[in-house]
Amino acid sequence: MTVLNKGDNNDDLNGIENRPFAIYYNIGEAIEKRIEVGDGPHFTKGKTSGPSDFVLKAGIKDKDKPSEAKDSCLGKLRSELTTLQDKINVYLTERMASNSSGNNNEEAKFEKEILDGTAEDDEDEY
Amino acid sequence: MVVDLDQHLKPGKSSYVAIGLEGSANKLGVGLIRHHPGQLSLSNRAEVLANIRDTYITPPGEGFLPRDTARHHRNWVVRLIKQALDEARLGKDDIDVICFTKGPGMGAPLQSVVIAARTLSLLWDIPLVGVNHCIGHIEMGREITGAHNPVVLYVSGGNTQVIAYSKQKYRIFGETLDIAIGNCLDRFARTLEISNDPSPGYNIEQLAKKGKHFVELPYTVKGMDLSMSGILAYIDEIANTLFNKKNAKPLQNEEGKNKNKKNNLCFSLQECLFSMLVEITERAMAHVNSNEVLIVGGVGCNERLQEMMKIMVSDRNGSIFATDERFCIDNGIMIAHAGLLSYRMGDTTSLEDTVCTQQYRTDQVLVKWRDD
Amino acid sequence: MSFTSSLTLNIPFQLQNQASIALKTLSVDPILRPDDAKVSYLISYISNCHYLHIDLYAISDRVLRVLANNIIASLKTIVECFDEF
Repeated sequence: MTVLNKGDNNDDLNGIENRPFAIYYNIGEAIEKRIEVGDGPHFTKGKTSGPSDFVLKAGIKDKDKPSEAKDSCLGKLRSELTTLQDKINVYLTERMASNSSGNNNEEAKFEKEILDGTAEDDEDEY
Repeated sequence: MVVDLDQHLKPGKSSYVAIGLEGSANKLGVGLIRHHPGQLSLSNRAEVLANIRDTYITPPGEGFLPRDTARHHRNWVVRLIKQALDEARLGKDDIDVICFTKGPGMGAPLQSVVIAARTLSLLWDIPLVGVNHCIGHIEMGREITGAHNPVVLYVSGGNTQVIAYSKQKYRIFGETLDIAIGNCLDRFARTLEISNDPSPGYNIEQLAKKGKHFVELPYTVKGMDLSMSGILAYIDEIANTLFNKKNAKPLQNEEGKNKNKKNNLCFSLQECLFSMLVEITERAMAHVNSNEVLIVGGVGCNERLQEMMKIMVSDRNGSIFATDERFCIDNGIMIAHAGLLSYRMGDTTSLEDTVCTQQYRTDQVLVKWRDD
Repeated sequence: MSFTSSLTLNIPFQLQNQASIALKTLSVDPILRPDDAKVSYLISYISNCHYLHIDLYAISDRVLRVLANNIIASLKTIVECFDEF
């Protein structure tokens, strides 16, 4: 673990009221995009962290929503993280849609592997 | 020689408490258990302080995706831990060890639970113990039933194994060569579009009780092992021909008849699969010269399986041991119990070793707490 | 293959201990396909806050998205633990 005191080089962090944020870089396209959560309100129930599409299509009620945030700093952070997760997912999804090329299949496989494990892991339990 | 389970009792404490977190499949379980010093015995039982479970349920006709299962676990794990602690009226200072399922199971759900285990371990400064899910079932089954040295039939959605203890290992005598028995039943439930609430297997069992006519199915015991995917394909074909032909919706007056057909198919599938299990279990008993059978795992709740096994076992003048749904269906208490046994022998899992693993065989674990 | 897409997550914690526990909890799990992505962690102290910085590098936006999504999902569990216990 490295602990660093970013002395002068903390431009990124000035003026932020201790909210989580992200910066996206793309070397090839020389893009630097800052993703902020904004003033809110923020909630623990995210737009991009719900049930998967096939569950939604079946029309069942979502009984597995996250707990609501407490009225605390950490509760606030959890809600802000949810907003950040949504914004990152939306931004990267938009980017993917506008530059769809190359080895999409291979990457879709990677995505499925991370989310659902490898093929032999697909069995149900009881 | 008897193993000494009490070299690690904390000064000033008169008992051990473990919390167990299980999430290898669609059940999320949190359990709290207490052991008193000394060997566990009929007069020194483990105490269940809390045993809470929440099941991720999918729409009828659907299996569960690991990603939705992981989401379920993630969103419930902290609430369930809180509820278990409240129920047991315990706080962090009472807990000696945090136990979690290391595997086998589905990667994403396992990982979503171990995150909470690691965080609490670091936050509370309490050691971790990673537990083999199958060992959890076996040890909890032994503790609850008092079975001493049984042949273990472990039957669930992910596993089908006949196991016997020998020289500090639970050795696998026979197992499925393809799909697990619970998976076979669940998938047939999907073919019939039976509800997944409370579980597809439970609903098949209820239909099977009403079945009378046995439909001949392939019988595929192969030495000590068995195969079930061929049987599933065969009965799926029958069911699809009977019920799912396009443009051939059952007429009003045929509905009753179809119901009977479904009952008979469920009945036949159970009879066929369970006969195979009885056969390989009997062979293992002869092999290791044991007259006890312990049935664990989710399918172990099935009363018909217990009944068929009982007939075989009583022919051999033996005894059969099974637990009810609190303990045979995946739960946190079994993870707490098996993890605590390991902890009492001086084992803890370092943070770097807490990475979960989808493949983790029962016979990989050194059973230090037994030396018989 | 080079890591063309990258994302830095900056997460503020009030306590050093919290940032450090989050780092330790997250960094145990290996990257599934090390050829496709890389993650590094760093803690810094800026304006009364202990920041956990997570640098994600990936061969594409899709790989980056799934990594970031997973890490934030885990972070939410970690933060909920801090809040409740």
